[in-house]
Amino acid sequence: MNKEKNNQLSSRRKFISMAGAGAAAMAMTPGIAFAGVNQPSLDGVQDVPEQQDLSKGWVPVSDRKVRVGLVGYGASRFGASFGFQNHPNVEVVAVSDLFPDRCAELARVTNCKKTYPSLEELVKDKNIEAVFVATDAPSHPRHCIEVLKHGKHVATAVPVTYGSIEDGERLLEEVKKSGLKFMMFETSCFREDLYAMRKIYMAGGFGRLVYSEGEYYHGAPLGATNYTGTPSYKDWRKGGPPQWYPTHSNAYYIGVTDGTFTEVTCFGVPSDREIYKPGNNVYNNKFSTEIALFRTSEEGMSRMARSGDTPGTPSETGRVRGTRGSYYGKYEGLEKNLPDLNRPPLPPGVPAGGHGGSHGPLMNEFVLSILEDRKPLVDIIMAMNMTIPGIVAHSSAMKDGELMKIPQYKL
Amino acid sequence: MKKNMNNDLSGRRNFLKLSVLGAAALGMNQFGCKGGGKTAPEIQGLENVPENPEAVKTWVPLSDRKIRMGLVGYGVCKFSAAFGFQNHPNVEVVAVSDLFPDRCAELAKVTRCNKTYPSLEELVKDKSIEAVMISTDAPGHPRHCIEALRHGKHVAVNVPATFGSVEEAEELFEEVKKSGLKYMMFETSCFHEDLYAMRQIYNAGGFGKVVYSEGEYYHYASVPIDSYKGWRIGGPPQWYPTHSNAYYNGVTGGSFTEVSCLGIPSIIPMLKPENNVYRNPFGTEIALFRTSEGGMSRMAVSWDTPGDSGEKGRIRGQRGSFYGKYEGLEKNLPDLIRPPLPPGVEAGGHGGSHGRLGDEFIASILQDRKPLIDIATALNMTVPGIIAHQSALKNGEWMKIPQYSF
Repeated sequence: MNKEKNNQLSSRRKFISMAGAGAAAMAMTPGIAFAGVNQPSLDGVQDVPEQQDLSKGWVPVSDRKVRVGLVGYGASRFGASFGFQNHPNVEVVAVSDLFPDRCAELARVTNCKKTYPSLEELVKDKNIEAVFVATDAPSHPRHCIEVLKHGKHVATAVPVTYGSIEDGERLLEEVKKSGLKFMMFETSCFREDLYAMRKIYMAGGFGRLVYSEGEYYHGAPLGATNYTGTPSYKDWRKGGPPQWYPTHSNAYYIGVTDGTFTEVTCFGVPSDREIYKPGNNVYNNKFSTEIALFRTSEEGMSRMARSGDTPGTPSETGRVRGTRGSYYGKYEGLEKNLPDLNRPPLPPGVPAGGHGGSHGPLMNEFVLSILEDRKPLVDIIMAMNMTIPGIVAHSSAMKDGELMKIPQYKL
Repeated sequence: MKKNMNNDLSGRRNFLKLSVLGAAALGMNQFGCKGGGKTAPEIQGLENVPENPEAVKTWVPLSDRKIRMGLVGYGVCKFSAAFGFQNHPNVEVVAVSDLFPDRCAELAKVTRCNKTYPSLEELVKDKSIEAVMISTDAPGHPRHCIEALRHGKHVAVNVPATFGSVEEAEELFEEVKKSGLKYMMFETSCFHEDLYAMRQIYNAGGFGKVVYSEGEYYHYASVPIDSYKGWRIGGPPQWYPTHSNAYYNGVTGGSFTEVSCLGIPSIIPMLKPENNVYRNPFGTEIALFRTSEGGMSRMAVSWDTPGDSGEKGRIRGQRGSFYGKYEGLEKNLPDLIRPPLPPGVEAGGHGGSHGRLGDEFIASILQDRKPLIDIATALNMTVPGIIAHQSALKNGEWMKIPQYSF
């Protein structure tokens, strides 16, 4: 079992025991009141799990407040949807969006007084320690580098880089050089099932993963006519290669095992949708469905699927099969003693949020990584190993499925 | 839409129309026909029998003629008695055979048949037999089918059509074409409730072009299932590909044109190359196929991963998808209910597919038409798995797949 490579589970485990110890040492109680932040309503946030008391078992690791800047309040309203504004260890000191109306709205919903007209201006604020980048995907690497160069920790929405391996590697170098925290907010990593798979995998309950599959299916709503897709800054979403947005699906291997994909063969099917016709998108992309078959670093296989032009229920999900068991909605296998599979508790007032209740836990993990000075769960290495294989997969699809090697990243 | 290739749907549709017309023309009463005087037994606690109230459809006899059948093979699966021929109103089981005398006697008993032969080779010499069901060892399938065809008999066979040999597949293909007789492979997935529905929707245009489909056969076995001369021990997973491949071939009538397949060396002892006659190192093989429609299929077979098991699949097309149910743009779906069963014939195992496979074969003889899973479809389901295994042995090299049409 090659679990010694980039095994964040053990660091995760250490973190949990450490957090417990820290709380005891500081004699903190879970009932402490935090900065008067009101709990926002959960309206419109889909996928909130049934879990009743999200904060049960939560213990603060510090009373310090990380000073955060939030950037980007576009179609997904992501700048506000991860709950930074509700975290007891966070103070949102400034927000920004290029559009003044969105910027004002973001300030309002996060109870923040200070705004900047751009990320470039915001990062000059010496008072800010960490920035959440929820901007257009093509700008993620440039924006993250800008933040790091100004000495700030950075969290970013997915993917870490959009179609450019070079941009991704430039960011990787910058993160290494900076010594600052970088985290990609891949939502699948804190879905209930994936989180459980990860715990079981690290406890040996799957043995080696023989086969895994993940998928991100997201098309036009049924019956929609003239659907033009999710609106996006400068239309970056229009006609993009499906596998350039691969992290929701790839997480169902990478996020479970900390392994990597080493080779890929990928197929695309030319889409019948207008936006994928030649000349209709800036990516010269004709595919809206791309199916990738990966070889994994443990010699197993993964099928990772993206589709935007096949009607049906949207989904971001996956399954794994190993030499000792499998997970298809639940664990079935040879291991009788499973570890605790519950996701970590959230501070009081932080909603679990969208994407299967993953938003709150992602944000909390980022904040904790700063407070505890440790690697966040989805660090730059895992982010690259989730994102870059999709870029190579699209290249393979453009060459009719040619088997291609994938760059490997480790710290 | 390239639906003109090897499209059994149209044949199927014609058949349905034909059977209704036929019933009308022959002045038969849909409800009153006794169909051979057998009384319907209760449907017992068979697994996988769907909940659907099948009673809404009534089986209509096509003829009062009885096909004289021979049944061969009563091994671990007891398959030659499992498809309901002995209860079908249009069948007379005239002889049975198994190489093991005790199994042969038991088969005769359960099918209420008085005549036995010590081997298939002896049975096929019986001139009173018109059709043979072959439930022998998989490696024997092509040879046994050819033997039956050469003796002028229609033939139905369990899966796969050929076990690892493309050459034998092609010999069989030539023999079927030459013979003018019926050949049908009993791929059970084709009469699963979901696959049958997918097929009707596909043929009605409810999926458009199938962009992506996936099928899987997951069956964990750390010790081998008993088999004649141990043929199952350590076999390459993709040599048994029809349960999964049916979720494309059986839906669309299309074929796979190219494959890249990956295998992973297994930790199960019998799946180590030195421990099986196939020199096969794999217990799981995952194939990515290019389809004749320009789409893709992921077809998976795994013997060495415990947990979720089954013979299942899903499809996604330009106009809709089927993940347990149809979701898509088509508002007017065709009738999705599977054909009715003759009185006395149980739906049977593998998702209630057994009885329908048996009935389809008999109907193809009575109506002198192609059966649903004819030789071309059978080979288009089976041979891609053989090529997939070759690809897996070459670490996923892309390989072309022979195409069969008839």
